[in-house]
Amino acid sequence: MKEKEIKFTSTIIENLKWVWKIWKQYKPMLFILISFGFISGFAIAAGPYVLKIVVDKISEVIKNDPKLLLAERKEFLMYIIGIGIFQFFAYLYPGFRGVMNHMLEYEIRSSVFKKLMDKTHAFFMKYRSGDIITRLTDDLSDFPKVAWFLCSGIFRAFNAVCVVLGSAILMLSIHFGLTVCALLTLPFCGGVFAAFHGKIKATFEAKQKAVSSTNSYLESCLSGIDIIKAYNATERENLRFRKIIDERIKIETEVVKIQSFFNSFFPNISFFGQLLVIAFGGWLTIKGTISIGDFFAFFTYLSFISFYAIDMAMFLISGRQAMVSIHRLREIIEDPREFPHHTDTVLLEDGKINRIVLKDIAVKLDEDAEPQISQIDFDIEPGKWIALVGPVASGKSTLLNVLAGTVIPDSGSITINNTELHRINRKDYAGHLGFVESEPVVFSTSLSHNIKFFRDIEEKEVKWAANISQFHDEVEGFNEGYDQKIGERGILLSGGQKQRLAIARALAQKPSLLLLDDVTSSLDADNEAKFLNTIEKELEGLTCVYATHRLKAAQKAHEIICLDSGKIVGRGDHKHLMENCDTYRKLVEAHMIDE
Amino acid sequence: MKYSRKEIFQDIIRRFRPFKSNIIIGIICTFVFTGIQIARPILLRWIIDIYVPAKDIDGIIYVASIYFFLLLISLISSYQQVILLSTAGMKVVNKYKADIYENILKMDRDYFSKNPTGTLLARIESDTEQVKELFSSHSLRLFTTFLMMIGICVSIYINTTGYAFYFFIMLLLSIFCLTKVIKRIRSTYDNVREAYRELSGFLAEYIRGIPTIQVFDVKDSVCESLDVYNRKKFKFQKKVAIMNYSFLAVLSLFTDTLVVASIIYFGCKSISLGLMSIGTLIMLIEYTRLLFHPLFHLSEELGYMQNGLVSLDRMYGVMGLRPEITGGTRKIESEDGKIDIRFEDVWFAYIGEEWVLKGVSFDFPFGNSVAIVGASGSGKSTIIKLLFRFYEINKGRITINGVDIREYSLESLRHKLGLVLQDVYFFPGTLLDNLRVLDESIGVENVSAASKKLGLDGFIDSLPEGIDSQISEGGKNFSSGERQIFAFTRALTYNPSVLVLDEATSFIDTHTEKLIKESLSKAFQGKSILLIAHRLSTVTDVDNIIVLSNGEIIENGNHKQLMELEGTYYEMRKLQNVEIV
Repeated sequence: MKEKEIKFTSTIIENLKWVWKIWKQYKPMLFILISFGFISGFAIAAGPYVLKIVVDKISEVIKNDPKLLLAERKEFLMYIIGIGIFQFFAYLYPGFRGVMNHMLEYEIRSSVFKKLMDKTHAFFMKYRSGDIITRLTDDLSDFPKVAWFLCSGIFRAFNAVCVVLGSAILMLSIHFGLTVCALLTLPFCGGVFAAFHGKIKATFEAKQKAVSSTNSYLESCLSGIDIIKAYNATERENLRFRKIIDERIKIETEVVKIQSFFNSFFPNISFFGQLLVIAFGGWLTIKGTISIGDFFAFFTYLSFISFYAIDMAMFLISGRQAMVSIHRLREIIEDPREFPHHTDTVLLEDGKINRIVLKDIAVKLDEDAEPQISQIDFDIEPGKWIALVGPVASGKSTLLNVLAGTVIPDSGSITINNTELHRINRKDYAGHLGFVESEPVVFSTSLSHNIKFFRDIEEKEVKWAANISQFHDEVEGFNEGYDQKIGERGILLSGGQKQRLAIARALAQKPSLLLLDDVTSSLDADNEAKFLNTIEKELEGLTCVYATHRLKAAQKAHEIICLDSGKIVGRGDHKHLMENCDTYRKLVEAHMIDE
Repeated sequence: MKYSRKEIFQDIIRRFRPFKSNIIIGIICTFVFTGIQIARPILLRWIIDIYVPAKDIDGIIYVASIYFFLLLISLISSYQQVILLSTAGMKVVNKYKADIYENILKMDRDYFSKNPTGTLLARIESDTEQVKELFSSHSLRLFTTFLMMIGICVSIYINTTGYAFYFFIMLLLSIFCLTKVIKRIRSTYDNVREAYRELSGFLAEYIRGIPTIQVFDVKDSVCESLDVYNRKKFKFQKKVAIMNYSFLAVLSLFTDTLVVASIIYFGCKSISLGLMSIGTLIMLIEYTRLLFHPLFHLSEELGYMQNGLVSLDRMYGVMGLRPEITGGTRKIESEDGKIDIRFEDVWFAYIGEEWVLKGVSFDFPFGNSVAIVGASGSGKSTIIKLLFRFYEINKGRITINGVDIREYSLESLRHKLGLVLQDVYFFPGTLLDNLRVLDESIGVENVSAASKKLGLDGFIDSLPEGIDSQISEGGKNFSSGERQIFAFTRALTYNPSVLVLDEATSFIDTHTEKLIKESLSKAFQGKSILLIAHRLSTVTDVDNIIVLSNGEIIENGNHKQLMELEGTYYEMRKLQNVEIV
C-alpha cells in the first residue's frame, strides 16, 4: 500500500550521522585533514612569536652596541625564513580542503543520480525535475552548502580552533592578564558576526525572493510575446514592469542598508583588539612587565585572531544552512518511492514476450483518491493487436504503464509467459519491449544517438527503424542527417517529428511487444494508416497495445477495449461496441458530428 | 545601432548624474577611511619610539584616545562610503533592468524565436546583477586598495629614507606576477563554469527522461555518461583550487616572509647606523601586511570586475538592438470595422531561400470565413504570422482595403485582428487583466459583456473573487476547455474585425468544441474568421477552404466544391473520417 503523504523529517543528529557515513569511506583523508589542520594552525600561531623574538633581540643589541646588529642579522634572517617555509605549507591547507570539497561533491552527485534511476512515477510526480536538479547542483555545490560544509566548513573551523589554541598558549607564555583580555574579545567578535549574519541572511532571502519572482514574472510574460504583440500591449507591459522594479528598489534599499553595516564593521574588527593592546599592553610595557617584542606580538595576534573567531562562528552559521541542504538531499535519496529490487529474477521464457495475462489489476495514485484503473482483467495472446479507447483520463496511459512495468499495480497480478512480471529480469524484459509515451522525451544529442539510446544498435537498424516510423526522409533533409543534434528538448523538431523519433527508438530493438500511447495523433491521417500497416508488415508476430482517439486507427486492432473511469466498459470489434457500449457510441458520435 | 565604448561611457555617466552628491561624499569617505588605516602603524611607532622609552603613561592614554576616536571615524566613514555608493549602484542597475526589458519587448517576433526565454532573462536579470558588482562593492574595494597602496608608499617615503622605493618595486613585482597568474586561473575557471553548465544541462535532460531510461533499462550507461560531465567539472575545479591556493601560498611566502625578512635585514643595518628606530622597523612590518594582504583578494575582485565588464557589453548589446519591422504611419480607416484582406503573390522564407510560402494569393473579403488546411509544415501558421507582421514577407504584398499593410502602423493593423492561439497564454495578474490584456481603457463592463456572449459569465461569477481572481501559473487552475474560452473572450473583448484562430480547438474534446463553435458563430456574427485547422470536421461550414501544400495553394473552394473535385482535400477527408458511414 502506498502511504498518503510521505513526510520526511530529519534531526541534526541524523544529518550528522549521514555526514559521518560519507567520511567513513575516506578515513585516510580524514586523518590527513586533521593532522594537517593541526600543524597548519600552529604554524600560523607561531608567526608573531618569532617576530617577537627577533624584535626583542634587536632591542637588546641596541641597548648594548647597535654595531653588533650587523653580525646578528643573518641569524634573524634564518628565523624569519624558517617560520616562513613552515607557513608556506600551512597556506596550502585551504587548497587541500578545496580539492576535497569538489571530490565529495562529485561522489555524492554520482551516487544520488544513480539512486534516482530506481525511483517510481509517483516520485517524479512529487518532485519536479527542476527541483531535483536544484538539489543536485545548488544544494550540493553552492557556498556554503553540502559539499563545502562537509570539508571546508568543518576543517576551516577546526583550523581556526588550532590557530586560536596555539596563539593562546604562546600568549599565555608572555602575559596571563593580557591573554585573558585578548581572548575575551573572541566571543564578542563571533557573537556580533553571528547576530549580523542572521539579519543579512533574512534580507538576502528577501532579495532572492524578489529576484525569483521577477524572473518567473518575466518568464511568464516573455513566453506570451505573441499575445502581447498581437494585442498591442508592449507599452502597457513595459509600464507594469517598471512598477515591479520600483517595488524591488524598496526591498533592495533595505538589503543595502544591512549589508553596508556589515561590510563596514568587518574591516574595522581588528581595531578593537589593537585598542586594547595599546592601552593595557602599553601600560605593561612602560612598567617593564613585558618587552617591546611582547607588545608587538600581542598587537599582531589581536589583529588577526578575531578573524578566526569569525571562522568559528561561520561554522555554526554555515552548518545551519548546510543542514537544510543535507535534509533536501536526504529527502530524495531516502524517499521510499522506489522500484523494489529483486535479486532472483528470471529471464523471459521463449526469448520473447508471448502471452500476457492481467488479473484484477488496480492502481491508485494515493490512498484516498479514486483508483486510476481497477478491475482490469484480460489476456493478450501473442500477435494480437489491441486498441484502447476511452475519454481523457479513463486510465489508458496507466494501463500501458502497467504493461511496460513502469507502474506497479497495487493489487492484482500481471504475468508474462506465465511468469509474474516483477520476477522477470528487468533488462531482459526491456529488451523485448517497445513503449512510446504520448509526450515522448527526446534528448539534445544527435538523432542517431536518440534512436540508439545507449543500446548496442547498428546504423542499419537505426535507419530501418526511422524508415518504418516514417522519419527517415525528414532525417535526410537535415544538414547533418542522422548526426544532426536536435537541441534542448528536441527544439529543432516539431511535435510530430519528436513522436516519430520516439517510435523509431522503440522499434530499433525489434520488440515483440509494442505499446503506443496515443502517439499517432500528431501524424496526419494518411501517415497514421500507413504507419500502422508498415509495422504490421515489418515486425511479424508483433503484439501491439495502443491507445488512440482515432476510430480509424482503432479499427485496425483485433479487439478494441473501451475504458471509462479506469474500468473496462466494453470489448469487441467496432460493430459490437456500437451496439453494446454507451461510452464507445458517444465517442464515435462526437467524432462524426458533421457527418 | 551599436553603442561605441564612448557612448556606453557617456550613458553610464548620464545614469549616475542624479546620484552626484552620493558619489562625491562616498569618495570623500573613502579617502578618510584609507587615511585612518595608514595612520595606525604610525601610532604604533609613536608608542614604541616615544612614550615607552619616556615611560609616559599620559602619552599612552593620549594615543589610545586617538585610536578610539579614529576607530569611530573609520566605522562611520566606511559605512557612509558603502551605503552611498551601493545605493546609487543598485538604483541605476534596477533602471537598467526596466530599460532592457522595454527594448526587448520592442523587438521583432523573430528575435524571440532565436533567443530562448532563458537567454532573455539572463540579459535582464543576471547580467545587470553582474554589472551591479561592477558599480558597487567590488570596484569600491579595488579603489580603496589602490588608494591604500599609494598612501602607504607615500607614508613610508615620509617616515623613512630609501624604503619607499623598495616597497614600490616589490609591490609592482607582486602585481605583475599576480596578473599573469590570475589570467591562467580565470581561463581555467571559465572551463569550470562551462563544465558546470554542461553538467546542469545533462542533469536537466536526463532527470526529466528517467521514466524513459527506465523503460529501456539503460540506467548504467546513462550513469556512465553523467560521470563524464561530473568528472570533467571535478577535474577543472581541482585544477583551479590547486593553482589558486598554491599561488597564494607562494605570494605569502614572498610577502610575509621574504619582504619582512629583507626589511629586518636592511633595517638592522639602518638601525646600527642610527638612521632608523625600532619603532620605524615595526611600522614597516605593519605596512607590509596592510600593503600586500589586499593582493590575496585581488584575484577575486578582478574576476568580478571582468565579469561585470563582459555583462556590461552584453547589456548594451541588447539595448542597442532595434526592430526591423516598425510599421508605417497610416491608420486603417473603415466603416464599421469592415476590412478586406488580400494576399498577392506572397513569398516568404524564415532562412535564406528556403521558401515556406511560394507565391500565395487569395482574397479574403469582410464577413467571410476562411480555413487553411494542409499537412504539418505546409506553411499554415506562417500565413497568420505574416498577417500580423510578426515577420516581413520577401516578395509580393498583403493588402487591407487595397493598401499594403506595411503602410499601416503596427498598432492600427493589429488592433483589427483578434488572435487565438493553440497554447492559451496567461500572464501573471488577475483574470480581468488577462482578458483585456492590461488595457485599462477597456472597462470591466466591456469584458463582462464579451464573456456573457460566450456563455462564460456564470463560470466567472463562480470563482471566489470573480473577474478579479488571480491567475495561477500559466492558468493551471482552469481546464483546457475553460482556457480556450478565455482566449476567445480576450479576442472578443477587443472587438476585432477579423478573428484569427491558430489550431485553436485541437485541445478540446469534440463535444466542447461544438458548443464553443455555436457561441462563437453567434458572438462573431458578421465578422471575418481566419481558421487554421487540423481537424477537418471543423471546416465544413466555412466559406472558403484553402489547401496548402509545400507553401503553395493547391486547392481553393468550399467543402462541397472541394469534395466534388476529389483532390487532396477529398483524400484527407476520407482518411480522417470513419469509413463505415
